Parts: sequence; C-alpha cells; structure tokens
Amino acid sequence: MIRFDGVSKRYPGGHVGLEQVSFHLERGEIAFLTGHSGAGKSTLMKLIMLLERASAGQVWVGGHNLRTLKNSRIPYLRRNIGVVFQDHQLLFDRTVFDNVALPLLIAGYSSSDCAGRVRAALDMVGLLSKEKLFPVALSGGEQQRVGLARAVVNRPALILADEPTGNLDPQLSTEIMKLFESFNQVGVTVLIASHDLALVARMRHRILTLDHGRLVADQEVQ
Amino acid sequence: MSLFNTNSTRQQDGRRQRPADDKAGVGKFAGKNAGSTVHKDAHTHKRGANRQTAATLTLHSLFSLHRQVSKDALSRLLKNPVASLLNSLLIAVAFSLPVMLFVLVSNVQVLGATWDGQPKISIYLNNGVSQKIIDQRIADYRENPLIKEVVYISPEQGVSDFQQKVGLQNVIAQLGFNPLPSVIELLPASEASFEQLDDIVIHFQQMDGVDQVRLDRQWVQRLQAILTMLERFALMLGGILGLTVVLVISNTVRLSIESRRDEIKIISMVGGTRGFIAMPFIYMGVWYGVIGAVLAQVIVFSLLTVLSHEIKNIAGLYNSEMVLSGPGFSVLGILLLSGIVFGVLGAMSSCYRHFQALVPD
Repeated sequence: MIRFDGVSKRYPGGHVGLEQVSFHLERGEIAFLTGHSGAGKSTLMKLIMLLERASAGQVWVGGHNLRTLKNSRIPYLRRNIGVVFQDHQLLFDRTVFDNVALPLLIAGYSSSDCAGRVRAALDMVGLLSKEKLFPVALSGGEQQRVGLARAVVNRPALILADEPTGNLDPQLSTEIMKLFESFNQVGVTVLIASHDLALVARMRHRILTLDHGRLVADQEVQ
Repeated sequence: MSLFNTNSTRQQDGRRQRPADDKAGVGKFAGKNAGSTVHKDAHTHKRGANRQTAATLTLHSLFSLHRQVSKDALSRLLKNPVASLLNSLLIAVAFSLPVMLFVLVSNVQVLGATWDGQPKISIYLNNGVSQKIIDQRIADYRENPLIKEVVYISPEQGVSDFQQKVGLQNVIAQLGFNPLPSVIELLPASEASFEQLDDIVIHFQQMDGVDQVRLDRQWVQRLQAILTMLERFALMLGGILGLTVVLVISNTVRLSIESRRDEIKIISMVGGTRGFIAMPFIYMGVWYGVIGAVLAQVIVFSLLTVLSHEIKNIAGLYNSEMVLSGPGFSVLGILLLSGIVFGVLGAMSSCYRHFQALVPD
C-alpha cells in the first residue's frame, strides 16, 4: 500500500526532513511511526498525501508512483486517504454533521445521500447524539473523534494519523487507538505517527522509528 | 496495479461522479485527468460492488450543490452587510458611469434624428426662368414621396427677407437691381436617408431651370460625428471601468480567500478539487457583480428621474416633445451579464493566484 524507496526530502535552506528512507507497508497492515519531534514523522506523512513532493527516491501509494502523479490528480489520491491530525483541523463554522459529511460532499454525494453514511461514521466513534453541535461545544477528545469520523466516512483504503492522541489523556488515547485497530480489522491500512512510546509499545504493532530523518528501526509485531 | 481495493465500489461510483466533478469545478480549475485512476480499478475490482450505495451524481444533485453553494455565498455576504454594500456600491458606481453616458448619448441621438434632424434642400433656379417652369418644378417636388414640404421664395420675397436683417437694409438698394435668384426650399421626409437625399440632389441638379442644389447637412453630420465619438468614449470608459470592477471583485475575493485559508487547506486535504474549492468564491464574485449591476441600474434610474425635469425644460426651448428615455432592456441585460462575467473573472483571477500555493513542491 505504501512503499518508500530511498526517499529523501530536503528543504530550501539545507534542512533535511528525510534521508534515504525505505520501507514497505502492506495492504491491511497497521504500523506506528515514532521518533523525537523533528525526526521527520510529519514530513513522511506529507509525502504520502502529496502535500509535499520528495526531493529524491520513489514514493508508491496504492500502486501509484507519486513522482509521476500529476497535480490535477492529487485530489483523487487524497480521497482514498483518511487523515487525522493532532489539532483535529475541523471547520468551526459547521456542525459536527457537516464536518463529517465534507469528504462525501467533495466526492459528489448530495447531502441527502450522505446522511446515512455520516451517521454510521458518527455512531462508530460514539458521537451520534452530537451531530447538530458545533465543534467548539465538544471536548478535545470528542473533537478528535469527529476528525476520525471524517477520516473514515468515505471508507478510505488508507488512514494516516499524525499525533492523533497528542493532546489527550492516557485513557482517551487508548480509546482512540482502539478505534484505529477496529478500522484495521476491516481491512483498512493504518499508519499512525506518535511520540508516545509507552502507548505505542502497549499496542503491539509494527513500529517504524525515525531519527533525524533516517529510518533507524523497523520492529515487526512482537 | 491495483489501487485501494477495499475501495473498489466507491471508485466505481467515482466513475459516474467524474463528469460532475469536472463540471462542479468552474472551467480550467477542474482536474482534467479527474478520475482516470478510477477507471482502471473499476474494471479489476468488482467484488463488494453492492456493498455501498452508489453516489448518483445526477444533474439534479449537481444543481442542488450549486444552489447550496450560491446560497451559502450570498448569506456570507449578508453576514457583513455594511462591508458588502460598500463593495457593491463601488462596483455600481463603476457600472453606472458608462451607462449614464450611453443613455444620454442615445437620447441626444434620438433628438438629432427626430427633431428637425433632416437637412434642408435649397434649389437655386436660373435667373429669368419662366413662371411656367417654376410651377412645374414645384409640382415635381410635391409629387416626390421623399419631400415633405415645398416652399417657394421669389426674388422679391428674398429681398424683403434680406432687408430685414440688421445692417443689410441698404445693400440691395445701392446695387440698383435684384441679384437674388428664385429659390425653392424643400424639407425632406424624416424617413429619407442620407443616401436617398444624395441621389435626389443629383437628380434635381439635372432638371430644367435649376442652377444649383444645396443640401444643408453639415450641422447634422457634425452632431452625428460628436455623438459617435461620445458613444465610443462611453464604450472605452465602460472598458476601463469594467477592468475596475474586475479588480475590485478580485481584491474582495482575495480577502475572503485569506480569511478562509484554513478551510481551503482542510478541503484540499480531504480531496477537494480546485473547482470545488473555487466554487464558493466564484459565486461570491458573481453575487458582487449582480448586486453591483442592479444597484447601478437603481443609480441610473434615479439620476434620470432627476434629469428628466431639466430635459423637459430644454426640449421646451427647442419646441420639442422630447422625453428622456431610459436604458432599454438590452442595456440592462448587458449590464447584468457584464456583472456576472466580471464577477467570475475577478474571482477566478484571485483563486488562480491562491491555488499556486496549494501545489506541492
């Protein structure tokens, strides 16, 4: 599903985001990406979503070489990837329902068509009763779960999560992680960036470790 | 070469979605290669095809998307009524100036055409021409359908007219004879064109007893030249002020884009095409253009109402029944259409500039 072949990312000014990173994440796999802050976790995520392009090496996502993917086709790549961010990235002038419905709206569903799917996604994260609220009325954990619902509502093949539990207490973090596991169990490929080593170790999945832009460890499931 | 096979159904859906996706994006912002990935996978992965309900992106749902987006764009404008009104007024003023000029020019044109607008034809007869020939000519002219009025001025009458003019009383007396020829003055019918009049002049010139034919049309030609110039000027002014409208809308949309930067980023990250992202802004531009055009019409009509009184006074001085006619439906239609076109252009220029930043590097 995701393959990195000697991928480097250098920024103007000489800063190195990634250096010769190679790994392969199979379809249906779940893995964690760890490392100190600034190790390149976010850069790696950005390369997969084509928010940035690699300076060297090849990135393959879903069988597509991203180097040759035209800019005009990027939206269609992103529709296959559900993303969750540490800061949720919700639209605060829209209700929870409308936030979750956004990817469907973009894919061309009319609002009446997508109601069922939006409710199913909200039900999955336990927020069905709050669909009419605005994000400000929700707690941090709830906002994160709205972000999660938005990421899965379009039934993507791949879910990327960048520090999804960064601001949450341990119990909420575990709950969120359990949700990711449940998506993985139905066949979705999941890649989670996190610097919470204790939590990551507890989950017992494959762990990719970055250090100063280099992939220094790739521990398989214990 | 299988892509995202857990997703095969949605991609099949996507096949139907594709044309609509393209349409949803206005013009060139829509992804040209939209969904070609989708094709390949739809063939190879049929399993689970019934698992999901297809997104039937029909004309109907496309229409409802556009309706929704345009409604949202309008309500966004109404959220800041003062700022929106000021912007719309700026656009309206830029629109109303050339329209006012155009209306005035076309009114004067009407004035020039109807009210004593036809040139007079003066036929100078040979000296000592017999009364019989004179009568014959007068009869000829009366029969001509292009001539409305025929007035005969005998040399004696000419002299008495001449002598009434200040300072010329004694000139004729000192000459000792009457130098003036017999003159027949003709007033052409209003429907006669300049070409027809030119033909008549040549025809009359060859008639028996006619010395010279003069068509007095210089003032009409001058007036029309001035009006043509003013009309061109109105068009040029329209062009310059149209550019102003585009810039005003472009700037307003740019500010709106800046304030919704986060929203754009999020929509882009969950797979919104440029067209989808641009749509609300393009509708915003269209609304500004339309509201500006409508306000411009209000301005033009109010000004014309105020002016119509003055016009009546002037017309009275010229013994004319002239009333000020406003811009016709075609002008109002063109105004509205320009509002829409300029709105789209202004918004698209801003979107285009901003979208350069969305491309990954």
